[in-house]
Formats: sequence, structure tokens, C-alpha cells
Amino acid sequence: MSITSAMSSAPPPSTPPGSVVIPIEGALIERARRRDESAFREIFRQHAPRVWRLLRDLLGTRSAADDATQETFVRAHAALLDGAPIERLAPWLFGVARNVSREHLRARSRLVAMADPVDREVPECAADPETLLAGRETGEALATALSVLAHDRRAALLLRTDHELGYDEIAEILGWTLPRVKNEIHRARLQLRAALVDHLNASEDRHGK
Amino acid sequence: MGSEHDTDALEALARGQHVVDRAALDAHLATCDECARELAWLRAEQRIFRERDVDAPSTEALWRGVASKLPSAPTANLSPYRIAAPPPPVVARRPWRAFAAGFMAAALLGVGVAALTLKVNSTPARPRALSHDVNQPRRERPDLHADASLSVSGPRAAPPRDVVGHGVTGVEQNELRATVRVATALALASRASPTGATTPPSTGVAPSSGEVEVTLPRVFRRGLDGPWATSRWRASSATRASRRPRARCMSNPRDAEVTSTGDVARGDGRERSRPHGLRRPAHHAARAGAVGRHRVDLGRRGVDGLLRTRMHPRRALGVGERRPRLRARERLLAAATTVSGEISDTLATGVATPVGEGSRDRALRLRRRRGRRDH
Repeated sequence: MSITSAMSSAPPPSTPPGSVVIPIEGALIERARRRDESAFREIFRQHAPRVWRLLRDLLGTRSAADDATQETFVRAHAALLDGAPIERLAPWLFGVARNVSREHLRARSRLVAMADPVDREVPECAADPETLLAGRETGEALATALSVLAHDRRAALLLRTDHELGYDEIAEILGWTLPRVKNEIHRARLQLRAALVDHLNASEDRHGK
Repeated sequence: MGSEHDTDALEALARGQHVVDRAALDAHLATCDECARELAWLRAEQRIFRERDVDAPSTEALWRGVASKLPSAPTANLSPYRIAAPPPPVVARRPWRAFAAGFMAAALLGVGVAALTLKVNSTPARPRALSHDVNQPRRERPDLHADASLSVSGPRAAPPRDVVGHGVTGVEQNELRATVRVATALALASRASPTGATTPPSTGVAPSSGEVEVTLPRVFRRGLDGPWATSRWRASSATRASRRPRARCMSNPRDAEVTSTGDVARGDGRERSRPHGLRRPAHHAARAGAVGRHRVDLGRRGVDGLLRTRMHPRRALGVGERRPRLRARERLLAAATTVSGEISDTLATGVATPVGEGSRDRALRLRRRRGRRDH
């Protein structure tokens, strides 16, 4: 199976059979602006899982992530029709999703204040994370550790660590300066590590008793 | 913690991406425990995020939800081979523009209606005849043509509502005449008169509806203490065309009482009029009025209680003592309004009205008109 990039979703006559054509993002955007439902659906198919995962981490529940994802793409569709300038779909969709998540949290009065989150140092006993995390259930620990972070700081860390966006893209999504993005991500990592250590140590103590 | 460059390099190394100068970085990691620990944590984070069991979304269910919320629009049936063809025009999703003209028209109509309503309701209220205020602002001057209303006219044949206050060169020019129509008050007073409304008083002034004119010389002297006491004055009678006017009192002086108080050495006490003091009470009243407080108590027996006094101060305001035009006019107006209002009140109710503090130079001249104006 070969992957071929083309200007459209439909395979040109010269494409070998069985090929999967990945349309160029710009073409998708252009077609979506012209109310091509198939193009927008393709955009949804490509980016909805990532957007949903980000919203799942930000909002904490699956149902909230479903609602927020739908709202995100509805807004994205409206923005596309309005001619919003878009360079890359993923950062732009993440930005819309971040705004939607903030509105959801504000509606639920669970928005964690960004002001003055507590910075914690990593305990010396956890100098070796591999040893600490080896053979442990880290999914629950990660979810618990992420819940400690403030909303935007958590979003910055997720966008950097989970979705592998660049610092400049994260700065554009969150509306921050580049130095602030790096600083917030560094602080988020320190908080995350401290929370992981605490959670894992507490879990070890519970199992050890 | 290392520099940003080191952090970015460590991140790229943790992700398995290409790192510039990998050998130097490895050599650094071999010697720096902190960077090595940081690299270990970065790798652990990557592994945690990658291996975590995250619920997979139901893409189809999500799409159904999204599609149900999208606006229904004909999908472009574009052939991928029609790239060269011009794209169809994109209809902007701004339906409100279609209604913008209507909204603006409605808004303009509402503004116009509101403006008309305000214009209709902006008729200045006519003050009552019995209401007056020393500090009545200029804008609240009552209507000239209303009963018991106040009009201010100057000796220069100015419009009825204009206050003359140009310059200070002479007595005549300094006069501010306030005409008060006290038709209502006179009628009430006439009815109360035992002699009847048509019985002329001894002064010869026939009671009738007319105007009470108050003239206030616009002469202000600062620090004036004693000059007024020695100033000459004149008073005139409305009944006789005398070249030498003199103050007169009504036939029933018992009902007319003029008291005056002032801060002049000579006018500190109250001076009551004599029963038949035709001239003295006027004189005292005029003089006292020029220096400060002045109270006119008029009996309720109609025109017999009117006091006609006119005072011309000997000295006018000297050169260099000009006052701001607006300020002087407002002050004169306030004084004229006060006096006129008090006269109206007294005529109507027969109750003495205390005079508020006015100008020192205020003089009172009352002249009853027989339904016409002299000026």
C-alpha cells in the first residue's frame, strides 16, 4: 500500500489501485470553505481523536470531552465558512478546543485559577523515574497528577508532551509569549513529577501495608 | 537545570528525534547528573503519555452530533478534475446583514420619536406667582405673559426677558426693571379691600390689574458702608406726573409696613413706618434696600397697601469696578425675582415675606400700572 499526496480526496486515474490518498491540508481547508461536506468530514476524521484526547485530559470526563469535541468542530466549521485564516489545522483546532474547554469549565465552576500555582520540587527519593515507574499503573497516576495543574498550564504541557506541538504553536494557541510558554511547561513538568511521585509513593504504601 | 538549548535537545533526544551534535550531548550527559536525570524524566513522561490507556472516542457518534448541528447547505459537488474551473461564490453566513437596514431604520425612528417627545415635554414650567427664590437661576425666569409672572426689562428698550447690564456708566443704565404682573394678586387683594376693588386709594391710584414694577439699580459698591446713608434718593408716584417724584404710601398705611435692616451703621435697626408716613417709610425702605436687607410688608387690603418707592443712588459704580456681565445680570435677576416674588406673595396673601439677602445697592421702586407698561 502506498501513500500518495494529492490535491483532492478522490484518487486520480493515475494512482495505483489500493493507494490511500492523504489530501493536502490546504486543499481540505479550501474545499471546506466552499461547503464541501466531505472535506470537512475528512478534517474531522483526521483531527477529532487528538482534539478529543486533549479535551479528555482538560475536562476530565468522557461525556464532557464528547460535548466539547462536537462544539469545537461546529465552531471550526463556522469559522471556515467565515474565512478565518488558517495555516495549520491542528494548532488551530487545538486553540478552538482550548477555548471550548475553558467555557465548559467556567460553566461548571471548576476552572482552576492560573494565578500562583504551587511549584514543588521533585523529592530526592525519586531520582530515578524509571525505577519508580517500572511495573506500575501510571495511567491513573498521570490523570491524578494532571488534575493538579492549572488549566492553561496543563494545556501547555499536553500540547507539548502529548501532541508534540512546537513552542511557537503553543504560544499562538494560548496567547502567550514564547518565554512564558517554556517557563510554564517547565513548571508544569516539575509539578507533574512531584504529583506522580506522591501518588506512586502513596500507592506503594497502600499496597505495602 | 541547563539552558533552553539543552532542554530542547534533551526533549528531542527523549522523543527519539534527530539531535544536532549528538556526540557532544552524549558526552555532556555522561558528566552532568542533573541533565541525565532530566533526560530520564522526559523519557518517562513520553512513555507514560504513550502507554496510557485513554478511552478512544466514538468518531461516528461524534460526527453525527457535529453534522446535526451544522447548517444545512448544499454540498458542492465538485469533481476533482475541475480544478481549473472557478469556484462558486461563498455565501457568507451573516444573515443579520439582511436585516441591518431595517434595524437602523427602526432605531432612527425610535430616536426621532424620542426627540419629538422630549421636545413636546420641554416646555419650561411656569413658576407660580407665590414662589420665588433668591438664587433663582436665570434660566428659570417665569414667563412674561403669565399671570403673576416676572419679566425683566432694561431701560434701553431691551426685550422683556433680557437683562440690561451693559456697562456701568450711569444710573439710568444701571437700572434693571423687573415687571411683575400681579393681576391675580391684585384681584385677591381687591376683593379683600373693604372699600371695594374700584375704590381708588387716597393716593389716587386706582386698583386694577396691572403690573408692579421693580427697579433695581445695578450699582454695586464694594465695601459700601456709609455712602448710602447720605445718598440722595427720589421717589415717584404713579398717579401724578410729577417731575419731582416722591415716595408715597397707600391710603391705608396701617396695612403697609416697611421695615428694613441693613449692615450699615445707620441702618442697623428696624425702622417702622408711621401711620401716615408717606415719604419716610419709602425713604427708609429705599435706603435700607440699598444697603442690604429690605422687607416689604404689604397689607392685604389691595392696592392701598402698595408702596411706591424709587431710589436713585447718587453715585454709580465707578470706573474700574466693572463686574462680569453675566454675573451681574444674574445677580440682578435674582434680586429682581426675589423682590417681585415677594411683592406678589404679599399682595396675594398679605403675609410679610422676609427678604433674602440681596445686593447692597438694591433699591425698590414700586409703581403700579394701570394695565399698561410705561416702558
